[in-house]
Amino acid sequence: MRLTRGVADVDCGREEEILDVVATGRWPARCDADLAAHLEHCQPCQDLVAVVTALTGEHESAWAEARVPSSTMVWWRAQVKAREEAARSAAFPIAFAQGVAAACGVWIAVSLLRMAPGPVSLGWSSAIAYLSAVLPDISAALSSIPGGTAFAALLAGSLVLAPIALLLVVRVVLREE
Amino acid sequence: MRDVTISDIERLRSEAAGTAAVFEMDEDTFRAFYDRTARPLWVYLARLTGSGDLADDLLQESYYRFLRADARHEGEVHRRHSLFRIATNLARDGRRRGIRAPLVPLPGTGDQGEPAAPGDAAADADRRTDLARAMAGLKPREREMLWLAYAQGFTHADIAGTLGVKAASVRLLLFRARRKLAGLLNRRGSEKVAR
Repeated sequence: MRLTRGVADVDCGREEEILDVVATGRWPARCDADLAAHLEHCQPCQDLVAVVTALTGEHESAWAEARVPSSTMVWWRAQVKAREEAARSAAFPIAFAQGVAAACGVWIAVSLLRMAPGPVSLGWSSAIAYLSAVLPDISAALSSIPGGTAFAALLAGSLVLAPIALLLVVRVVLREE
Repeated sequence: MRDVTISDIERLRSEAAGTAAVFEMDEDTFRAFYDRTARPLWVYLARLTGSGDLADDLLQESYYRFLRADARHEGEVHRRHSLFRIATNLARDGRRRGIRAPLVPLPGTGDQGEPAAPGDAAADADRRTDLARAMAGLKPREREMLWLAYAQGFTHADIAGTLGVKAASVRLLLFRARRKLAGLLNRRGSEKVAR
């Protein structure tokens, strides 16, 4: 084996010949005497024979035990999976928007509760009574500013829809999982 | 994987016929390509992963990703390279995520082995176990390369295209992998003789 600038000259030029002999089943009984003599003192060729005979034998065994599904089955499964992925991709922006809306709703609700110190520390019945007393003042304040009623309606809608949107998002995420 | 009955196939055909095209490749072209490549691909995946069950899953996923890629292929060879590259990457990803079967499936105890019989069958099982153990001592890329070159008969250009290495490097990498595997096989042979 020659070495050139640190890179091994990786075969002795008879690789194809050896591959052919093994592939056609002539190894070792019907191998040329010349090639057999060469193999006795050529280590890369000996390695090649050892590896090729082992791997071709293994390939034959593996080929016999291979079990592949029908092309119809694979095609159909691929189509179903592609459609499912497409549906998921289409649903993602909606789920994302719902998630953002839910987060905003929760944030607004928490902010309102923090602004009004009374109900947080009270029981449910007292809290409802407190809100009943406070709501007319809030609605009066909102109606006095331009677009306040629309804002109030939007806020109330968000508070109602936020839990539903959150539920939907959780369901989508769980289904993807 | 369960067997497919005739009624299953009829049902799948009717369902597929009633739907719009999802992939660029049409069904007939796919079927012809699948029939030419499925068995070699399964064998390749089974030997890379050491498990027939994993090979089943990766086979389906490989074809799915191949179809979904909708890539333009210059010809059959290019198309085959793409498929095998996808399969190789999936097997590598599986290894990285820790999804692995024992790399040395012992004949008779592995998920696809039959009980070892006396005589030739036992010797054959022994030979396969030796090879599997020796292959387990190689790096994944060395295993891939050797299998493609000497079991599947890929050319150096095919291997370069499939594994994403430079064509000029294949010869040297193959030589090193071959030397390493031959050394491992010889060592196992020597250990047996010593025992």
